[in-house]
Amino acid sequence: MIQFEHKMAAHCESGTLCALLNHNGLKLSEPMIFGISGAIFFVFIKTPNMVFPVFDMRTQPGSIRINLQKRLKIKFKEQKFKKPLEARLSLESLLQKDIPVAVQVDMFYMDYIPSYMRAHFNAHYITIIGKEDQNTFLVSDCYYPSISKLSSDSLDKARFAKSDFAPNGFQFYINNHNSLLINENVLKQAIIKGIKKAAFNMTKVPIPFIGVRGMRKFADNILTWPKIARNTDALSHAIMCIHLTLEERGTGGGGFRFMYATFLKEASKILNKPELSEMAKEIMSIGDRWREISLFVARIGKARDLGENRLKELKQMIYERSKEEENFFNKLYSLVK
Amino acid sequence: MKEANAKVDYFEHQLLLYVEKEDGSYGPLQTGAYMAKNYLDDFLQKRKNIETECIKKLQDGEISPVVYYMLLYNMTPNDIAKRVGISKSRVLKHQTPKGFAKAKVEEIRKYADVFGVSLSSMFQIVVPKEDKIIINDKKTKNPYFSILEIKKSEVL
Repeated sequence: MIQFEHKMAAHCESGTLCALLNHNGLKLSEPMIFGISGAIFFVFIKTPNMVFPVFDMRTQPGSIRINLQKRLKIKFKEQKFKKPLEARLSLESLLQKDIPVAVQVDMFYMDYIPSYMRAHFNAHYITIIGKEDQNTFLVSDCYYPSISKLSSDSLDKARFAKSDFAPNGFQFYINNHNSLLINENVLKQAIIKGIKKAAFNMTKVPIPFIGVRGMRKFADNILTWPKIARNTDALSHAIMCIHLTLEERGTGGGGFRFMYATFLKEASKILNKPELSEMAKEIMSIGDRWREISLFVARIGKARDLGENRLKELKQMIYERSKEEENFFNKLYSLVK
Repeated sequence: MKEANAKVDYFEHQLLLYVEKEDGSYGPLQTGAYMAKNYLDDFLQKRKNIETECIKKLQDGEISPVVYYMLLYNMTPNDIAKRVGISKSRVLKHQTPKGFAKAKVEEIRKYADVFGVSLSSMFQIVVPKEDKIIINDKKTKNPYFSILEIKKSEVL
């Protein structure tokens, strides 16, 4: 097994990137990686093939890695494969050279997760750090406190699952340590670009389902959910999933807002801009109010207290967050432009 | 969020939150999952309700096992179609016992892979009549054959 420091992280993509970079000598925190990539976001997604619409509070899977490379001018070696055997042989040969490899997987096939958490999601990231025996890989999954084991059969299925965000055996690793040498100026520029992009996405994209406009669209849509739901249990489940998306699906709490606050605190020191530290406090407190929504949906979901008035209350709470975030990101944009 | 408010005592499901520490700095905190600690019972009850409803419909010949697993894992026909590698209309056809009877064995094996169960579980559900029974549907190298192990749990 490779000597690899396994650490839990809030989010699988930023956490995996953080662990790989740290392992190769570039000491960046998870919030810094998240912030530089401009990953804080809001998108409301509703398609005819969905039972309930969903929302997400981060940019598209894979974009954290892509934007981080672009802004820090660093390079990962990235590969996709057509056949599981080809992918497995490549992975094994890298492990033999003591290179930890990040892979994209369908979370459903991670044998070590509790059965109640099993759900198909093709854009989960883990790091493979060795093999225990012929058929078992050792996995550093930043959602779990310790190194886990995964059968090669499950790993093959997870790397070649089909449907949205199909991994196609995608893996990435660092093969050139020199590419990780970044100077202070590049870091400062990357932070500014990341903040600008995030603020732009949240307030200035003229598409109704993105950013603060997306929040309002989502809030309005919730009122239609009782008509879509198969029964009260299904409505309760969909409402309670709002809590999971905000707090427990790798957000670090408050829909990534707490992680973003931590990034702004760090950025304030690096850029020597005390105003960003004040902004950190503001987004931390907005995150607290997103958490109030989380606790509210969990409570009304469990009590099956899902009448029109309750859903209107929920809509109002989301509208308030959208106003707060509109002010916040406008102010943040003006600080770095 | 203040560190003190974020702490949840639930070892079984841990996660990482970013919090305001007592000294005013911001940083990570490993803690228990609030939802799992306080609402897992409700989630499991909902699943149980789906199972009960679907098993009745399965027995009455109203639905096929595809619907049972689809509802259990909260999936859509569209997603299943993409994962199995067949058309959505074919998945819809397989949702009735009549349509399911026309599915190829290889298609049913692919469904089983997507639902994370053995091929035999696409034709039967094992229901233990006693408590503390461990059921392990062990896969073999042969994708069309599994071994069902049933044993008493040694944990009281």
